[in-house]
Amino acid sequence: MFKPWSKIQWFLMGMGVFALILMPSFSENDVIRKWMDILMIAILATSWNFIGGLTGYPSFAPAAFFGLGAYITAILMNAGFNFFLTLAIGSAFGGVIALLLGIPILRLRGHYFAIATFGVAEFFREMADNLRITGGGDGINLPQIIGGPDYFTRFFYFSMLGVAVLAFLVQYFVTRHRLGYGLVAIRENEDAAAMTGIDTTKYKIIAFVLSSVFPAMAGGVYAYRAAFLEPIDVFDILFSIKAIVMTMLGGVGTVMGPLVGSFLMEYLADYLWSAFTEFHSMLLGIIIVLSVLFLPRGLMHLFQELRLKGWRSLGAILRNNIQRFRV
Amino acid sequence: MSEVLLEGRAVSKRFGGLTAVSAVDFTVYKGEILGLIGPNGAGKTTLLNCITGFDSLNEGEIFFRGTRIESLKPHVITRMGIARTFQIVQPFPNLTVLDNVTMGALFGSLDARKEVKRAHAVAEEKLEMVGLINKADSLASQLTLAERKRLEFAKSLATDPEIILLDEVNAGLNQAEILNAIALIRKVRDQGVTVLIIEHLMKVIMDLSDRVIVLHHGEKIAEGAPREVTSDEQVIKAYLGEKYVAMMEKLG
Repeated sequence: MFKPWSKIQWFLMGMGVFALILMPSFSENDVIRKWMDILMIAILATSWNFIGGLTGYPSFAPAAFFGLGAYITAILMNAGFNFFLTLAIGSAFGGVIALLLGIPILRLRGHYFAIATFGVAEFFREMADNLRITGGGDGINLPQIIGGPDYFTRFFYFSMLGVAVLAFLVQYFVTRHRLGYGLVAIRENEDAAAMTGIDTTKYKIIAFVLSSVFPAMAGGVYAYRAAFLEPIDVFDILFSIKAIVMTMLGGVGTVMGPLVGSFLMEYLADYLWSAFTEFHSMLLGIIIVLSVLFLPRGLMHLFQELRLKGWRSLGAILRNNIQRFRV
Repeated sequence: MSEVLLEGRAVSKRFGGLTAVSAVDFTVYKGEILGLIGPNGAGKTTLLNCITGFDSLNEGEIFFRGTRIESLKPHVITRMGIARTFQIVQPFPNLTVLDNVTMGALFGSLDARKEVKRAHAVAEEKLEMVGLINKADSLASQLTLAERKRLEFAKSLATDPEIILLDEVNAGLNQAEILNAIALIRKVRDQGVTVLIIEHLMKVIMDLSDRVIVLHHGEKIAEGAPREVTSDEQVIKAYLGEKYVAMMEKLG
């Protein structure tokens, strides 16, 4: 299932991270900002992969925890806390909330679970809209970061990169150990998983907690960068949907899938926007539909299959994939 | 007889107004093969579900090596050493055969603090035993029914059980496959695993079982050696109907 990475794979990954570390030294601020967005989406996608991809529970909760982390950073920084400390507190708080929420809603399966998580995001948004501590519908200001645009663009970029690397490493080690096997077993057949001795309730809750702590951290970075938060802005369900789409396109249940998906889709969307300004959304939509039809399990699964069967079988694989949709 | 491994006292399970299992007492001794038979709907699978924690009892107690288990969760019961196979096979379809069995080895026993590598080794050993090692890298969904039944068997064995509950492992198999399965069950028992087997094929039951329990409408109507049980009038009535017995009596 998940083979430990070879030295070559680690070397390539290390080179990739190294390139991301060096990149700001010779790039314009707008490129760095672009990559900050990619990393943010990659964090959300990687996190979604814990519960949605590995465990098979389709969650719409990323937006909920993203917003929660954003608001915790806003409130605590206004109270004079250090920024990085707020990230730690935000993710820990997100984890605890996920634990408490997970106990009731992880009893639901399939669509019912999806609807419940959707409700969680809406509930948090309503809370932020009505509580005094969050500034209600008027929103909340954060302390301004001190320093010029060159400095703070890089500061936020590296913060995001740090969270992304952390999320990736956690996912890698989870998938190579018992926990990852247990989560996949639940996705494949929950009753059989229990019968092989897996504590399914505990494992599902762990997956949900893992899928919540990193979005909360990303939300914190986002909040400090934005310097002003509104409920509608950070509890946007689009964050959840992006996390799901990127993972699905990149490769559900693989560690590289969410990263590959986020990178490709963000750049593709950018390119389409600059090349076909008038109908870029339509083109993006068509590409998403086609890739869901031809690559239902994402790009990484296609690569794995090609490596097994050879490049010549590309046509056969794509035909085979689309035939699943014939009733 | 030797030591008692699994014991049920007045086990009852109702679904609404329907009593699926009614005040059944049973005892499984260490090292035996116990057959559980009865017509369709007699409550055999429900009894297995009660033992393995999938269904909760309405009344009664179940003891495994002297410990009460009827309110424990399925995964806890598995780790204590009770494994089962499902009548309708339950593989992890998109995983390889090896990974399927690895799950049992990783999670199945109390000393399950094993790493993936060691679990793979245990899984390979079990696949060797059931004769599926040459399919280790195939996806479970690509196997034939007979192979899936063997996979189910290997997966249960990988949890390192003291007793294995087999729910119609031979249904849908052909003659040669059944002979293989019988040999395999014997081999498992000879390695010290106690076996409780639900089976419709009388040949298998007669061949394998040391003792047999017969359920009918949720009640235990007979218990004993295979020969005794199959000549019991009540059992014949349950299987073939009252009319048949009356007719046979008339004919002498």
